[in-house]
Amino acid sequence: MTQSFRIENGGLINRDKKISFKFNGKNFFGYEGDTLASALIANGVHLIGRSFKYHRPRGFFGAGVDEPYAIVQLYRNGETEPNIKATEQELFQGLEAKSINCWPSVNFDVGAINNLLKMFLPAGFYYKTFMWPKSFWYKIYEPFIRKAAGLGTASIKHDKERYEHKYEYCDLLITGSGPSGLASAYSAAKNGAKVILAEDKSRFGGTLLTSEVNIGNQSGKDWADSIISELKEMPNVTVKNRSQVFGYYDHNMLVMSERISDHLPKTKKFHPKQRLWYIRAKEVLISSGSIERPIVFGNNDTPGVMLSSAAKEYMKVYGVLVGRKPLVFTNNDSGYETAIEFKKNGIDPIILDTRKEPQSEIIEEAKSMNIDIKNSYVVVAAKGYKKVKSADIAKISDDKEELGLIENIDCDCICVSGFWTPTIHLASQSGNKTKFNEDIDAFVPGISKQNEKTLGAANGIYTLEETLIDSFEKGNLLSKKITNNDNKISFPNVVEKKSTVHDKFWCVPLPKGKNYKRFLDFQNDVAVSDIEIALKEGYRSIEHVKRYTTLGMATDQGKTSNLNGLQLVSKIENKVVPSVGHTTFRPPYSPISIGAIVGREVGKHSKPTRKSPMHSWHEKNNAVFVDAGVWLRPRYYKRGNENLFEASKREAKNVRKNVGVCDVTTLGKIDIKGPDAAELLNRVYTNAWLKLPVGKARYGVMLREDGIVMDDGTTTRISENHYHMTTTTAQAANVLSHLEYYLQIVWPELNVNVVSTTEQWAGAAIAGPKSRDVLKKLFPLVDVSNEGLPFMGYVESELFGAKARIFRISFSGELAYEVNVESDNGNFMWEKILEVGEEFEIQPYGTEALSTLRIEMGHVAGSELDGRTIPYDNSLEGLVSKKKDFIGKRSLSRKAFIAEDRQKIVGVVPLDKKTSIPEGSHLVEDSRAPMPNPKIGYISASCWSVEYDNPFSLAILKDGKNMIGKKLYVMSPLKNKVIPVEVVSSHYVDPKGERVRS
Amino acid sequence: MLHIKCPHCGMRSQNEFSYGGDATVKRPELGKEISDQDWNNFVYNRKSLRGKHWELWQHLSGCRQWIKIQRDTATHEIFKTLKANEEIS
Amino acid sequence: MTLPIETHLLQACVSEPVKPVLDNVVTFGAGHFYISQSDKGEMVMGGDLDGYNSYAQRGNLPTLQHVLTEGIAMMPFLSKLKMLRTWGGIMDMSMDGSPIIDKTHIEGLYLNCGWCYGGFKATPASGWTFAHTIAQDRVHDLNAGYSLNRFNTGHLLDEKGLGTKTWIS
Ligand SMILES: Cc1cc2nc3c(=O)[nH]c(=O)nc-3n(C[C@H](O)[C@H](O)[C@H](O)COP(=O)(O)OP(=O)(O)OC[C@H]3O[C@@H](n4cnc5c(N)ncnc54)[C@H](O)[C@@H]3O)c2cc1C
Ligand SMILES: [Zn+2]
Repeated sequence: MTQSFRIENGGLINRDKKISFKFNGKNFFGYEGDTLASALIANGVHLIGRSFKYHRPRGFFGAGVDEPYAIVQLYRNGETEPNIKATEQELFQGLEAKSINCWPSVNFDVGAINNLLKMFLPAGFYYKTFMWPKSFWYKIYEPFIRKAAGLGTASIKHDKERYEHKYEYCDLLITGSGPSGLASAYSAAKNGAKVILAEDKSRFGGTLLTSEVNIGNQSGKDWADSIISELKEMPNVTVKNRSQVFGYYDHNMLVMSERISDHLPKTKKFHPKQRLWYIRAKEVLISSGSIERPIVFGNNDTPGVMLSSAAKEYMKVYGVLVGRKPLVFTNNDSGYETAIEFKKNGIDPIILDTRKEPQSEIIEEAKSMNIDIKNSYVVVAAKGYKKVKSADIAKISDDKEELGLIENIDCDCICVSGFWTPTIHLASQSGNKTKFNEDIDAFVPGISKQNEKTLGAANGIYTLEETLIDSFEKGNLLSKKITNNDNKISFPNVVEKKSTVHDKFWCVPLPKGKNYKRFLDFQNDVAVSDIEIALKEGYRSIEHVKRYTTLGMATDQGKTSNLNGLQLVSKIENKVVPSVGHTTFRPPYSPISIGAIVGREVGKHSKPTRKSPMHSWHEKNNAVFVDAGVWLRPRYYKRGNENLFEASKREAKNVRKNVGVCDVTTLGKIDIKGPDAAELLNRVYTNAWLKLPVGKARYGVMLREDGIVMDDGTTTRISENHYHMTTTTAQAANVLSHLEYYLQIVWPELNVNVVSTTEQWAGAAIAGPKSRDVLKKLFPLVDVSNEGLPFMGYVESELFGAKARIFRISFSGELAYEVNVESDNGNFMWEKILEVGEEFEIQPYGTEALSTLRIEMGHVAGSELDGRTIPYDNSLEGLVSKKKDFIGKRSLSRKAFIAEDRQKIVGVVPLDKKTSIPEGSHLVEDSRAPMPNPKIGYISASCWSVEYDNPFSLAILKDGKNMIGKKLYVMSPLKNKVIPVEVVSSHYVDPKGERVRS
Repeated sequence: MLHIKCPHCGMRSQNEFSYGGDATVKRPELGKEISDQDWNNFVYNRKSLRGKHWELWQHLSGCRQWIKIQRDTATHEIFKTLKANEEIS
Repeated sequence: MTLPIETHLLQACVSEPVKPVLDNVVTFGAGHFYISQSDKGEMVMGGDLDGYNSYAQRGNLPTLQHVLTEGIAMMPFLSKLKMLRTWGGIMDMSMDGSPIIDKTHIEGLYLNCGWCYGGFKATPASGWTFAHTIAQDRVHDLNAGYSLNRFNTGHLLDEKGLGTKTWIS
């Protein structure tokens, strides 16, 4: 196809570089520097999709981020992305795009029947139309709505692209590279400030790219180019295009998304697709310009109706005509610029100006070019279905209420200008309370809330000279404050055409007998009538009207619709706009890829992975790993075809029979030093600590202030003022913070230091009746006899030359030791243990066997100390000192905590000795009692007892102490299981604890 | 993201800190008689102020010191930061 | 009357609308993340609190980053969607993570609060029992456990809630 709407010359595209692309299966050509939108328009494609609700034909409305219609499904490098704005997507070789919301095709769309059914889809249709009869909801209404739902189609493949994050600090962040951004960046840069200048679009210059102005005796565009190239050379300046500052957060933290690869056929190797910048700026200059707003009239959504500024941009930037018979419909001077540009390209536009007798330089110029200007005229309705064919126009009375005779004139596009709306999103996000400016009929930023200042059009200033003066000055002043330099810039000579006031007119009345749809929100199909209904139904708050009608909630977030919506509400309600108020602006300014927000922390990297020094040994020896918090721990070591159950049983049995070794490096370790260390422990743990001798370990339980168990572990007195505390793997970090809190905030008088040594020590638990034999071989010089190293004893020694700590402590309930060496020697220790243990049939065991061993011994762990239990519940009341006070003690005397029938840990065995019991199941007295069947307890942990070769579980059971011997039922509705069980002691194996002392 | 001035380390981003709640709560002295009501107030009841709020933060990924911050809970503005041993005034 | 409640900040967000891909609410307990797709096609997502007392109704991006990280961990395709809108709301966090539905010592004053981040889903049941409580001026069996006095007696609810954790430090 030929680019029949491409102007011969001009534009900022590179005509030497042709680019081929596909739209809806058809091949087209465009040029380097085109957007998908400009290339399609150049090729005469004006119908691009269907609207969301009524499936009305949709074309192009804007030329950038404000675009409500031209949304496509994009195909790039074997992947697809939904909801891409054709006006933002730069053309690349091989680009493919498809229309959305049209089935079977954009030209013949079945969903357009909704357009005929529109009486069923008024405002709030989500909430009411489909509510009755109720039984219809699931079968008819919801499937219908859901089918209509959505814009594009999400790819459900994994995202192979990479997204990066960057953290930056700067003196001035400037958002937007129009004249205000450039001028302020320039003067700040000249003062030596660290400046970041961000531009959303691919080209710098903002309105200077399309306006007929002169700055410093060059065209606006040339001036912009020269400033940008100078800025790029300065070491203190970062200039970024394709970079949108989308959020203004607390304490001057702004976030910018830089689109690095979206304009390329595929992402270059080692490059990210996008980069998110977290920028902490000392000062923020918002120079984000303004967006033209439409005037509302009948069928104003017909393809071919577009913003007048967009039509101009297509001509001046892309060398593309949006039509050959343009009608320019305006209430201000901006429309004239577009008309003049048409005229310069040999096209005869007609201007309809709502104003009666406007006079200004630019109007004079248009007149002198013989452009047909009709004053006090409006477009009543666009005609044509898939493209504008003509327009019904009429004279309008001075009070703007009465329409004159309707005339029909031919046209193929209608370029609308309803004046300009400052882009105040970032200012508003900063917390700035915006105020309504009567002169421009729009909101502008009020008093600065954070360190933000707004410049130029974003601040409602629409003359170039004033903008430049203000921007040079602000850039200079703010940077001077930071750098103390004061380099005055000589102000350039500015030539621009003066314009005159706009007409506060935004909506054309309906002619008698007609009920044209007059759209406010073009993507969500919200028309004037919808707002009227919402108000009639009693919605008042603009936030409610917005949610009820979905005005401004589409992917363009109301950039062109919000103000007109407010105007309408204020008119019907007979209020002034500021008292209607406007909806809050929240980040992001425009939709931001979730991948970019998340960055590199995906897949395996979504959490850090911690590995013990013995990890590679485990890997080499067929360990199957399990996540323990962020640690990877061997769950079992697979032999042959063993499964988890078989392997863990083998490992656990071997501990009970011979000896096993388990990697316990992950346990939290805290080094505690200082003259008051014992006193600290005495306050933190529930039991007594003041008399623990050097060289002894003790088990302790610590509580939160509410009396709930926080953690448990052993602490060993290494020397007079030096203790080694262990915590559970999960609570290690919390316990350290907990100790620091009490030491720094509550009891600063205690002279104690705490520091985490989890990473410093590698740990191995050697457990089983033959563990002493292994230890003898490991430490031939140490007396490891029961007398020499009794239960809870501690000695230091050397393991074949490596400094080692030996603790006689046991989690498995067997005779056991824990050996710690410095982490670098961890693997050496591990291999030595296995080497000397070979003759005693030592086997490594994983967390599954470890669990089995501790469960059948009735030792509590995380599943019992789960933030709901007190010492008594865990049968740890013997460790609660009656004599001294400690953290949480006062809470233990609360009524429920001392109740006679308080829950307590018990053991549970299935009557058939076969059925294993799901963890988390409930215990009930009568399995056939009606629902809700009172639950009297729950299963906290289950195992297959290797001692007795039957299932065994721990449970927290109401009145547990009086329940031993009772028959109950375990119920798991989730697994559809009912299991008759008997309650037994939680100490299923070796209840007297003889083995650990043997 | 909040920007917090650690009295020991200087301005740091919030992600280096963890929050510790109302800093005006005083833990009752150990071993001293205390009514149920007073104890419960200490454990559970917080003023949850709207406006200037003294609160504890720990510079977890920094100096590990607990610090006191006066912050507006309605605007997130931070007015003052103190070391653990400095009294709130 | 003092309540064991602190005011916190919770954010949620929606993606751009896409054609139906998810017809259930899915929650990811360990990751603190939930997701569902609205009838309009937007994916509605949320998770953790911002983590400090706040009445500001404005959150910060790192929390959403964290929430969405968990989301992508569960459903990797979310990475390709775009976040359209975010908002932050006020959260009445009770100290044990469960709500309070109760009479008070002041005649005619009833409490239904402390819903934390889970008040929508419980609306029918809480409304019904609350109505009963008001109409009969006595608590219904089903909300008896949700008494304010539970903080004094220690009859805390059998839920793994940790509330605001402020006093855990
Ligand atoms: C971002 C976010 C996401 C959430 N997601 C979910 C979710 O997915 N699932 C879920 O179950 N829950 C969710 N929640 C929680 C849920 O919103 C709340 O738990 C629920 O709204 C609480 O209901 P409520 O009636 O107690 O209070 P609210 O809904 O907060 O209602 C309180 C009302 O009281 C009014 N009011 C306040 N003061 C006064 C006064 N002095 N006089 C008169 N009126 C007053 C307020 O204006 C408000 O209308 C979410 C919350 C947030 C903020
Ligand atoms: Zn610090």
